[in-house]
Amino acid sequence: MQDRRRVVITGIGAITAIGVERQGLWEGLLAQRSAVRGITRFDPTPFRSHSAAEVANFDAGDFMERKRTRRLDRFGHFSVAAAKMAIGDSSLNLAEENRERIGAMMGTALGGVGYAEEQCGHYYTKGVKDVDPALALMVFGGASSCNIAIEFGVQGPNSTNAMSCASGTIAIGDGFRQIRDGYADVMICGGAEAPLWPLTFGAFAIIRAMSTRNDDPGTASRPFDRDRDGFVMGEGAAVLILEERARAIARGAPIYAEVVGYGMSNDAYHMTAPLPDGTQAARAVERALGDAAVGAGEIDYVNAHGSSTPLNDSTETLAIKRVFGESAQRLQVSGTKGYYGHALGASGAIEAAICALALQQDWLPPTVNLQTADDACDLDYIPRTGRKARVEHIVTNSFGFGGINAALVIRRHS
Amino acid sequence: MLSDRQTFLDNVPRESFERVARLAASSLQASLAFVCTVRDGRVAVRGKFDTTGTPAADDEIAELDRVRVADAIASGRVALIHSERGGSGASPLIVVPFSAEQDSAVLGALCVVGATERDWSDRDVAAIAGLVETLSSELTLHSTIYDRKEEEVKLRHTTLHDPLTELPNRTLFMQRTDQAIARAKRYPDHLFAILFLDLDRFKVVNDSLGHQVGDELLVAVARRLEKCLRTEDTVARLGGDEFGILLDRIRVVADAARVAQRILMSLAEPVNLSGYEVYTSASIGIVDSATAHGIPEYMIRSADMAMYRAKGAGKARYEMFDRAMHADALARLQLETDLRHAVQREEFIAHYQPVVSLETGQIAGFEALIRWKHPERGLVPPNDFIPMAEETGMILPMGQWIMREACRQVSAWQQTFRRAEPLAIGVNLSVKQFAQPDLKQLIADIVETTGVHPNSLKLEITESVIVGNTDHAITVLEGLKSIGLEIYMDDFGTGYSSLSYLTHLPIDCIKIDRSFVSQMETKDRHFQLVRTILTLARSVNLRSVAEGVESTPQLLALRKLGCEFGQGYLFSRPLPPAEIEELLARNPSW
Repeated sequence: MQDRRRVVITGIGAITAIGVERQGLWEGLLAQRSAVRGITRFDPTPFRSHSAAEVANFDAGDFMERKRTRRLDRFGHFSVAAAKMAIGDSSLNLAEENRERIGAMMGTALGGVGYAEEQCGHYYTKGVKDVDPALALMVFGGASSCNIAIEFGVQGPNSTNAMSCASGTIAIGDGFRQIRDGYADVMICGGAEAPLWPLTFGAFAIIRAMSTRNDDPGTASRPFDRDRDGFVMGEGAAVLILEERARAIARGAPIYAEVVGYGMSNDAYHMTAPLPDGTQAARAVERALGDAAVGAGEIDYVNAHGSSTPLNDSTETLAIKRVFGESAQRLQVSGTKGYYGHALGASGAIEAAICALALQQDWLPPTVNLQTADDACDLDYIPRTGRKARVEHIVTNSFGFGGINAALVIRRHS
Repeated sequence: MLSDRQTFLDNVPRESFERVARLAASSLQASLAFVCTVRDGRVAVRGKFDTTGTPAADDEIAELDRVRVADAIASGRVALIHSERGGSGASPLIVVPFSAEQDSAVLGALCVVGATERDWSDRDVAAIAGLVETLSSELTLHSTIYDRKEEEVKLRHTTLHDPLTELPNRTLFMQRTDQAIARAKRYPDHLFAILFLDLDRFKVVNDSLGHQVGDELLVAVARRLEKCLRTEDTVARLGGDEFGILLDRIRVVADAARVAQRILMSLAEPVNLSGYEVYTSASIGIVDSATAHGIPEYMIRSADMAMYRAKGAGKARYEMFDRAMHADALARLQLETDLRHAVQREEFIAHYQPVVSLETGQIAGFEALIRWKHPERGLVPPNDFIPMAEETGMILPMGQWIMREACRQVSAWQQTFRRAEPLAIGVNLSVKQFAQPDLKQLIADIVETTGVHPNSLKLEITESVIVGNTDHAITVLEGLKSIGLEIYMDDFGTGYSSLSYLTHLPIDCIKIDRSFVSQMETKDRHFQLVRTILTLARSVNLRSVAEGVESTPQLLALRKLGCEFGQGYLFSRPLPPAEIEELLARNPSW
């Protein structure tokens, strides 16, 4: 039927601390190990927290012309490179496409703030002549989706949101609606984040949001564990190719999963602390379920936000119970930030990619580093070891500073 | 009455009189013959001829004859005055009064003056009487024609004027506007403005002091408006408490604003009506011919839009229609045209929002919602076209379409997805549809042809359908129910929500408004209200649907309170049919 537009995921690109590209990400998940280490990029000793999940083995020159790499900062490299991987993965031949019907939507919490910080140092030490002339065009958040548009010539709907840790999820949700509502046929969606510069990193240490388990970085990010003490900053990007289902089938594209629902809300409460009763986090999930017309009882797996902060993980558990009621007890939930830390605006996109792969591979990743159960976190979090499981419907949550809540419903494609 | 009867004389052509006078003069060899008519006691000569049939030089008659003629007419009889030999030298005179047939009022007389030595014979009198008879018949004809013309004029006045205020009505106002537009087209400098005036809170006066006082207020306002305007301006009553003012030939737009200001000040004075001192005010929208023109309807609507802005800005003020509003208005006009086409081309599609049985957690049925698939704009949100459809009456064909389509669709689903209780379908019924005299037949026909189980068709009505004429509504509803379908009361709790509805109306189910449901988990008052509504409904054997269910805790609370059905974004947004089919195939449970 003509008026029915469904949206499927046909390409995945990822840059994470546990692996680069779709294959790298999946292999990293199967390894069931944390990639969090002591920071090497700069000296973290002025700050309370010393660990991060850094992306190694990434050379922007592998994904774009050398000349172009100099016009982008690390966050820009991540954006364009992840998009290129995703497009390649989806075997989209852009030259043959109507590129006005292809858009890009990205999310990033901080954009090029880290790079701006570095240039700031140049300015104060060596003066204006030592400042990168492209600075102005590198640091704004919109550089993410705009550089994707320029690199690939896609002229459809385009935006980059900056809704902190939920921005990747929001980008995918908004992109999904662009296609469902007929404004575009393909959307290049995801999130990118490169925050590992001293002051950008340190700012989060100053507000005591990050783990201080400096002596054992590999277990610092431990979602839902009793001894969690804050998030661990990560970096990276993930980009999904969302595509209108009929045309994806017609061109024989690989289909990982279908995006069926999206919901969001704001706690309207506090910049860092979640609303204690979890009602608005729950509301975002409920909206996504309603958007998908999927009953709570039909959900098999939740990829939690699970940031490993004391407040998030217990509140998220409360929110899940609100939404799923009795069926929460048979629900499988895992938080995957133990693997690759919290890549802020990229996290939601990385986790959406993980959900799509979980549906395709029939394997649910574990919550690594979950060693001791917390009284306030009493669900089945798939501790330590992943599970072979054929699931139908998945919810993925992202909750961020500013009280923002977003959720997606993704299902097995049939 | 007499003077009325005589006015037609002014329209009788002079030749009618002259012909008779000429004939009289020549046939009787009179030295003079003339017809005179009387109006309000004054005699006027209408044609005066001498023996040769030549018109006399002047219309004067001798003083003595004038007195005689007047006397004769007053008596209503033929006066025969013979020559007075050796007397005053006055001429012999014959005066024959005439009237129009079937009417005894004397309208005038045919007067013949003979030579001084002449007497009048019977034959002379008979000849003149014959001529008068002819004249009478002719006058009768004129009188009848005149009456008819008068009637036409009067009729034209009543069709173009408002009987209450005697102001021009909408039709005349449109005509005058049309003329002004034509002038403005011909002369580029010609500027005019239209003011659209709506009384503020008129309904309050009507409701609290009665229609009598309301009518008096309208008349008083009409007189005040007239006083604020020049004689060449037109003030019209466009309907209800709406007035239109056409300011033709203004120099600058500010002139219109000044007039509006004057009107506002004039209306600020209290009005004394049947002993009540009533304060009134008005909101005025102004459009000038330089900003918007084209057709009268468009100009008036533009002024109307500006008036609404004045209302929105706090009433008792005026607003000018500007370019931005012009763009809005054009867009609206375009949308309206498109909507008319949409009705003809059936550009509508039906979406369905699941209604879930809270007892079983499964889908029990749907509410059908119309969506407009605009060929260029895509899916138009309902709020952008439903109110317009209501206003323009296009809601009727649309309402019929969605009912037929929904019944057809659900009938098909009932075949494919068999349930213990067949899938139900709720269809909204607007006020205009409800007023259709053949509504029952229409619906019966749809049920018959689509094969939907009549009991699974739920007509969703709102209170506005009932307000005003409950008895009539009950009759209609009972008629509809006799087909076998059920009546749902939509948006319950938002209007008067009179408890008597629950007992008196033949309804089967109430839909609790979303505003209560959506806040029932956070606001205890809302929770208690929902609980009370549910208890009440149950006590009179009505089922309930909770609208706007958005969260799991709401669902659980409603279930615990014994609410039968739920509908809302927690379950699903309205979906196109294909997705509903998939949903039914999965058969989820909440």
